Parts: sequence; C-alpha cells; structure tokens
Amino acid sequence: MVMGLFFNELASLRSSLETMGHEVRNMLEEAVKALVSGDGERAKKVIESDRAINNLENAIVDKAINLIATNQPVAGDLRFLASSLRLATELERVGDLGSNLGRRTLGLKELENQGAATNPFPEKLSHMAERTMAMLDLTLKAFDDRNPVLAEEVLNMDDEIDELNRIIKATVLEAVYEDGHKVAWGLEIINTAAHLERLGDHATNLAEETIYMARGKNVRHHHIHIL
Amino acid sequence: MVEQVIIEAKDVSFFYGQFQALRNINLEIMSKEVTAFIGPSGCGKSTFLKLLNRMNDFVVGARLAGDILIYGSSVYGREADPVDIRRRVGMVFQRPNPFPKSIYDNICYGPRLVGVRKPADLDIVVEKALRAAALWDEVKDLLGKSAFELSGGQQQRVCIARALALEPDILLMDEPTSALDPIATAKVEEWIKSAGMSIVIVTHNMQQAARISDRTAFFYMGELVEFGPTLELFTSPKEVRTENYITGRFG
Repeated sequence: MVMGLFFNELASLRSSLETMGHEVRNMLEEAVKALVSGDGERAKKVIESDRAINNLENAIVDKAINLIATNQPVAGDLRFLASSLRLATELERVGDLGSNLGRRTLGLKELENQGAATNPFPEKLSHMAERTMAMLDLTLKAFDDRNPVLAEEVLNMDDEIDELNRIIKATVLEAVYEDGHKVAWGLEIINTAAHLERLGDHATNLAEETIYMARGKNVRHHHIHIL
Repeated sequence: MVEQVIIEAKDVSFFYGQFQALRNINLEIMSKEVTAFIGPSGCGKSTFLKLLNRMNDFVVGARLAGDILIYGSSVYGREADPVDIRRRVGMVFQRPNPFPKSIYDNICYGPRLVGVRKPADLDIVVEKALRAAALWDEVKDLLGKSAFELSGGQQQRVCIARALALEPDILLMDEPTSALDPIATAKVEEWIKSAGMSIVIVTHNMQQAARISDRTAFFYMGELVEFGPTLELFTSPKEVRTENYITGRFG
C-alpha cells in the first residue's frame, strides 16, 4: 500500500476506535441510569445495543489485521495497531458488562414485582457506578488526547473502586445474615458491584494501552510497582 | 562464547573533497552478531561500511578523520596492512560477482593467493566454505561448472563461500540481496541469520534488517542517529528521526 493511503487508514482506524469508545460509554451511562432508577425498559434497550458494539469490535479487528498483513508496520504504527486489537476487545467486554448491568436491573425489578424481601438500592452502589463512569470517561479522554499522564491517573483510581466493592459486599452480607429472605436481592447487588469492579479493571487496561502506545512501555500487570 | 567488541569506530568523519559524507561516528560492533546499517540513499551507510576494510583507499580526494579499530588495532595505522585487513574482513557486494571460472576455482582463488597449493587441502577448503555458505548440497556434483551457470541466489552464495574460504573474522555485506528474487533472498537471509559469525550488512530493505540483524544502526545525512538492539529500534525507537524514517514518514 502507498504510504499516504496507509496513514489515512491508520487515522480512520483511530477514529473507529474513538467512535466505539464513545458508543460503549453512552451504553454504560444508560445502563447506570437504568440501574439506579430501576427502569426496566431502559435496561432492555441497553441489552439490545450490545450487538452493535460487537459488530464494531469485529470491524476494528479485521481492519487492524489487514493493515498489519499488508503494510508490515513498525515502531509507533505497530504499537498502535497491536493496541487497537486489545482496545477493541477491552471495549467489547465493557459493552458486555453494560449488558450484564441491564440484566441485574431486570433481576432487581423482577424481585420487586414478586414482592420479595429487599433493601433500598444502596447509596454506595450508586456512588460506585458514578466513580466507574468517571474512570471510563477519563480513560477515553486519555486515549482521544493520546495523553499517557492522564492515563496514569486512571490507574490510580482503581483502588477506590475495589474498596467500594468490598464495602458493598460486607453491607449486603450483613443484611442477608439478618434476614435470609434477602438472599436473592443480595446476590443481584453483589453481582452488580462485581460488574462495576470489572469495569474498573477494563478501564485500567484501556489506560495501560494508551501508555504503551505513547511511550512504548508495557505497564500491564506491574504498573503499581513502577509508577 | 562471550561477546566482545570486534570493531570500534572512534569519532570517524569522512570527506569526498569538500563534501562531508560522515560526521563524528562512534560505535562498537560486537562479535558473532549481525549488525545492520539502514538509512536513505546518500546517508553514509555504505561509505562507512567500506571504511571498515579500506575499500575507500583509492577514492580520489577522500579524507578520513578519526580511527577504526578491529580487535583493538587500527585499520588505518602505520602498521596496518590492507591485504591482511581484507583477508580478515571479507566482503560481499550488491550483485553476485563470481569470477568467470569454475565454482571450484572461484572458492580457491583467495586461498591460492595466500599460498594454499595442495589439491587435498584445497578440496577441504572448498567443501568447508561451500558448506558454510549453505551451498554444498546444491553444487557438490557441479564443482567444475562455470559459476555463471548457477542461479542468482546460488551465485551470491558462491561469492559468500569465496569470502568465507579465507576464514575472515568479519563479513561485510553491501545490499547483498538487492539483485535477488524473493526465494534467493530468503536463502541468503537464512544463511546470514544462522551463520553465527560477525556480519555487518547494509540494506535498503528495513524489513530485512528487522528480520536478520541483532543490532541496527540508522544513518541520516552522514550522522549515526541511533544504534541499538534491532527489536527495540523497530518497536520503540528513541529518536524521532528514526521513527519517521522506519515508518515511512520521510526519506
């Protein structure tokens, strides 16, 4: 391929990734809104929208593989293409978690309809959802701006999410010990928190890719020790 | 074997008349490694390669500053003997250039010049050199035939064998596959990669440098811009000029 065309293709791949990032982000925002407000219809739409995200992943992966095969990229171009394969996969998993949050919303709704024993929606869980959204926003901004310093901030946010997950789990367990009828409710809440915690992990992985692309330094799995 | 510095360039500058082709080059080439020189045309990489075995000695108006050491002794010092240096530092060129002689006589040419005469000794030299150049199995029954009857890739390996027959410490290769087809190129690359000897190769083909070399030096406008492990240079170059060149953004 002529170099100018190759650079255009790289730019178009980057813009596809940005689009996918923002589609996934909007999906998550809807999922969180549905969850906190207990809106079943909204949750169903979120679950349906996952298919479009999966298609975006396939398109990005195909394009990146084609560019690698036909252009033998090196240096920054190679790092970008290798990262784009991982970024698309990470974003697709974030989409899956959005869809899972939709299912948890429907599960909680179902319990409510059945008149099962529940507690009010935990405030800490709303807070955790807000914080994971903030983390996702920051990691996408770091990618869009190619800013590894911003990406490092994302890595530092994950501990807070993990801590919220621990607190929520302990609170729910306490409620379930007190009243065994709340087990089904407790499971939905604990799973919801677990989805959000995983979301934090994926936001971290996305941030690590931004650092790799910008600096050529692989910080996956050991960023805590080198930062 | 422990790696050691085999070639050391100390502040080397080179001039063709008023034109400065190389600017203060400092680098160390390690033994038993393949070192690739890359860079756009006119960047000085071939000029530098040729300095390593004094191939520029007869260029009119040329002038060298600085020094090049091989195993610690100066290539350009008073004691240095160009004939001995060229025996220790062999060279293979862009186009296969076998002599208009049989395969056997091509390989024996150097050894005969340095006094190997006995047919039995020459037989051993020929077989050893052709085996080392990964050509023996293909030509062992054709040794009396003219080297011109071989394919381009085989001719280039005859030239490699001819250089190896003198058992050089280092082999210089100036774009050794640029006149070869992809299959012949693959054969020569395979040989370079598996030879286990000290090789310095100039190539215009960056993918070739990435495939076969341990270290890569990037030259630009007579300067050595970056020199380092090939994997690092092709994944995370330190210099912007290197990144721009290897990704095709200039040059």
